[in-house]
Amino acid sequence: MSEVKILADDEEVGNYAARLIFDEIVKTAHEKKTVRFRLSWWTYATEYL
Amino acid sequence: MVKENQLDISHVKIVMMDEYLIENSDGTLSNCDPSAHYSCAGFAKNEIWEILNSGVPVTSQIDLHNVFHPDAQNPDLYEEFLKNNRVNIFLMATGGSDGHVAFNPPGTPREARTRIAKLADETRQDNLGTFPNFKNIDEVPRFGVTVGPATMVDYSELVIMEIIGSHKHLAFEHITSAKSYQSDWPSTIVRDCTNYLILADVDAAEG
Repeated sequence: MSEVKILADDEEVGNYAARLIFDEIVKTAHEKKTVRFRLSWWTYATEYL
Repeated sequence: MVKENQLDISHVKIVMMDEYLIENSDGTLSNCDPSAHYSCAGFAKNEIWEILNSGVPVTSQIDLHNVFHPDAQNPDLYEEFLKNNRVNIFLMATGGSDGHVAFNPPGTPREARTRIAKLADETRQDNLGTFPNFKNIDEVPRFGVTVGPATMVDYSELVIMEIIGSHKHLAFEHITSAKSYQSDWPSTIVRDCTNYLILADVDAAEG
């Protein structure tokens, strides 16, 4: 994946990122692997998670 | 979503990429107090760890020991930690006025890794807006410990770069027009990452 995606506003950006993170948590939990996130200044994503 | 789906997040590790440093009277540098209003470690605990764990049963929560940040006393150790663990999703943001990413100022070499860095004046000025409790620029620390561009590229599986707001339009232009890393705008490092997604809102894209 190497993509630029334009969304309406900060809420949509946060929602989109949150969904990706959520999916990764689910995937890695299922695989019994360790998942690691480097969460920076990303309050929108964590609010939606 | 975590709460609604009764998700077990105990396997998640939160890995921060930088922290402010204070200058001691003997000239040495050390991480700022996590209780400081501008602390990245404090932000991780209060704004990420607590929010993610909120409403989640204790046995399914992220342990506080799984929140990591670099230490000025041994930056190399953090680099080694990241090398051995890697990062599934690296959430990245960009400075709006100078393109800094983490605490990497303009001029940062592509090969730089976790180290102590002197913050650019523009970065410190941006931080006045990020942390409203700073009264003036003199209160903003002059140094930080930070991962470097090479760290980001080498140890990340997916990078998500968020660019939000019209004040980030210049950053959007720099990043989307760059073909690879430009040291005068360090957040272009996202272009060197194997697997990345740049998420921008309309205000950032159109200015």
